[in-house]
Amino acid sequence: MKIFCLEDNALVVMHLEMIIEEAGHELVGSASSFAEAKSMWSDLDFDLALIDIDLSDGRTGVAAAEWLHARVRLAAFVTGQTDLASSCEHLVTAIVAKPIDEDVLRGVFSDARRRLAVMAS
Amino acid sequence: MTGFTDLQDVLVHAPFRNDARMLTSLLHSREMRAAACSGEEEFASLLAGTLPGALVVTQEALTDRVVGLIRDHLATQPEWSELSVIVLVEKGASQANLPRVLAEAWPGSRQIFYERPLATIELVSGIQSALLARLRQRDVRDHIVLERELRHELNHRVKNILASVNSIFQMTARGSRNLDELKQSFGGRLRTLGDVHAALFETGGDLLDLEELVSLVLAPYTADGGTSFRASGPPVALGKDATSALGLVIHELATNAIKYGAWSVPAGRIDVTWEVADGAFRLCWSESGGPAVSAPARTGYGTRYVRAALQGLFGEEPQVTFARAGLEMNVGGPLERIQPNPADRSASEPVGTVS
Repeated sequence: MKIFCLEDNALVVMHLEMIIEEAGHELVGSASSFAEAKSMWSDLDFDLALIDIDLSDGRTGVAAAEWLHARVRLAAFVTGQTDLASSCEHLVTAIVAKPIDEDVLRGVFSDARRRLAVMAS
Repeated sequence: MTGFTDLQDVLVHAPFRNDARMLTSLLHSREMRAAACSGEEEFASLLAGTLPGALVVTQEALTDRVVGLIRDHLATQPEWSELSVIVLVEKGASQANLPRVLAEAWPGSRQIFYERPLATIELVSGIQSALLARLRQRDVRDHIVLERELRHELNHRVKNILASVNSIFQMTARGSRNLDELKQSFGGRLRTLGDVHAALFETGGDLLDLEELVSLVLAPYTADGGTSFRASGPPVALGKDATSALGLVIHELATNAIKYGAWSVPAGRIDVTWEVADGAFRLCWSESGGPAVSAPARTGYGTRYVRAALQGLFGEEPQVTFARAGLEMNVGGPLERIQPNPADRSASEPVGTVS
């Protein structure tokens, strides 16, 4: 699976990249703000976006999830703002709380893969 | 009625004779804000939607409905709020019971009674003291709001720090060959995170200058006088996120220099220089006097972090050159990306400068 990270903490991006690679997937890009991500997303092919809510351009993670949801692309929140994330859970396939539990995140990957298979058939 | 100001306007409900006009003009003449309502309907809607500075009501206006409306307002006011109810009573036997009846109807409320005909000086000073109490309540409200915001911000920061520490630990654990190596690498990274946090706290306003940051991270390694560094460039105030990220980047570069680069020999030195031109920032980390370096066979935590953090900060990957003279790294981008954002700035300004 091709995965994109929208996250403004470089440490967390690296950690996500490591988990993604170990699970046999690929990190195809990352951005620290929604504005930056949006400029990349139009011509970037990815299967799943991991989105934090607080980004370098403000609390724009929800708007990012809305943007992807409107274009039928899969996203999951990876955030400390779990209350805010829960209030818009219909936009995403899962909500992963920080600090990240790696097993939970791997479960999100498997689930996304199943959803992609269903969407393709 | 328009322009009712919460906690300032005295709300007057005195529907008979000339009472309302007389009371409001008296208060206006003493530079107090006052608003009289036209009847019970307006009284009901104002009381439901505002927090008057004080309430002035005549005895004959106290119908069962009005008593009930005031009771509901008192019962539902915010915890910090304590509205004063000033009751103007008629002289005579019929009012002897009134304080007791109203104390039961409005339990725990602040009530002041004045007998008519009114002594102006008493009434004015009573209302002024009620308004003064209101000002203090407003301060309490502002403190409660501020404390709630601070608690929220604190919670947010603690979560962020825990997320960072968790990521550092998981990655350090994977890159370590044994427990000693894990202890040493993780300890060093955690210490830098702590030092940067302490320095940010010391400044009081979450603002640190780049030169201070470079010295803060590198100085501990030069304490024994063997190795040396130079940090030079124009003053650059860093935002708090940029401070943490750059602090950790410098730590990783220094650790690498100690293991493989200039600081692995006594004569080695590190030059950290930066410049700002037309809103563009450029930073150069340059090692010299050490052994000839070459690109590592394996990309470790340090290299990956330096690349990811700088990419995140500037939107541009750093250029790393493994030269014979020593490692050199260049990176740059818009200055505004590492400067304090408006939220950082407002937090560092003294309260009360807003006009």
